[in-house]
Amino acid sequence: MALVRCEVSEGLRESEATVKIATLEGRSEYLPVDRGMLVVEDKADFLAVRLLYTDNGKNAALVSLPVEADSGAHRVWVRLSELKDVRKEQEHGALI
Amino acid sequence: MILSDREVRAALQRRLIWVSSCPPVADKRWSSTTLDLTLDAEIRPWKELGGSGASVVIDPSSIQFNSNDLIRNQTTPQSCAGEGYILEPKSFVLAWTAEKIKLPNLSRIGARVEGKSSLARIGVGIHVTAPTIHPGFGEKPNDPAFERSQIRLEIWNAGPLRICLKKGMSICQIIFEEVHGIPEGAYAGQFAVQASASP
Repeated sequence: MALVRCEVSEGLRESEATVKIATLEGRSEYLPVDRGMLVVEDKADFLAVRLLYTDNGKNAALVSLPVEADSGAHRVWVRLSELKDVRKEQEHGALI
Repeated sequence: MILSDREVRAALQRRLIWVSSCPPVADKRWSSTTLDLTLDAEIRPWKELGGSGASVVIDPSSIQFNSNDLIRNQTTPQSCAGEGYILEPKSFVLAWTAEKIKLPNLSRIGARVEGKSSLARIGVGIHVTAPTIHPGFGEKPNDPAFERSQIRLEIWNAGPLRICLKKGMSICQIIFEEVHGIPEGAYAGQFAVQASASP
């Protein structure tokens, strides 16, 4: 997992926020998320995402968004500098 | 493969999936392969954009498209608690399930929300062709205490009848499915796989 820097604005309900993420291509991705998915550190907002790949040559990372963005994207490339707190995932069991 | 009610309950017990306020086995909300979810109080009916007769065009492919901004400006929250909310013929509202769901990525379980026959017979649909709940929904990685997420519904009335929606009614059913294999990025320790960032 990782945290990606984001801008947070009002959501439709108290428990929800609208998040804006800057992509590598310079586009903004907007998505509605539960406020519990957000982390505030040093007065900056971050969204918990799943890290899929990194491209150190391009200082970029492919992350999986927690919900589909308004653009229709589920995965976006972001600058590595926008990420923090990259950690291994905890293992779960499988049902079958 | 669709999970049976027994497999769903086993997954719940083993915390491979979470459903808040999950009913007991004998509850009528269970079927052999589905669990009914109930309606939360808030309903958001759409205003007529630009007033009657005006033609306003929304461009979802625009870089600045922000659906929550649009929804906030073009809907007014109402409650279906108590007397309920009347869903007029040919109308469309947003709503949420009361239950919160979590599908951890590594559990290899996805889900779909679908309508109920009893409501479909009288013209009510509960989503607009977007029923999929992907593995990872409601999950905050490395934070098992995270409280899960409600499912947003897009409810429409295709029929000629006025339908009363009430908080707590069974509004949709959820179907859990096994995902064949573990999704990309979910393997512990493989977060640094190299790939090209070229479009």
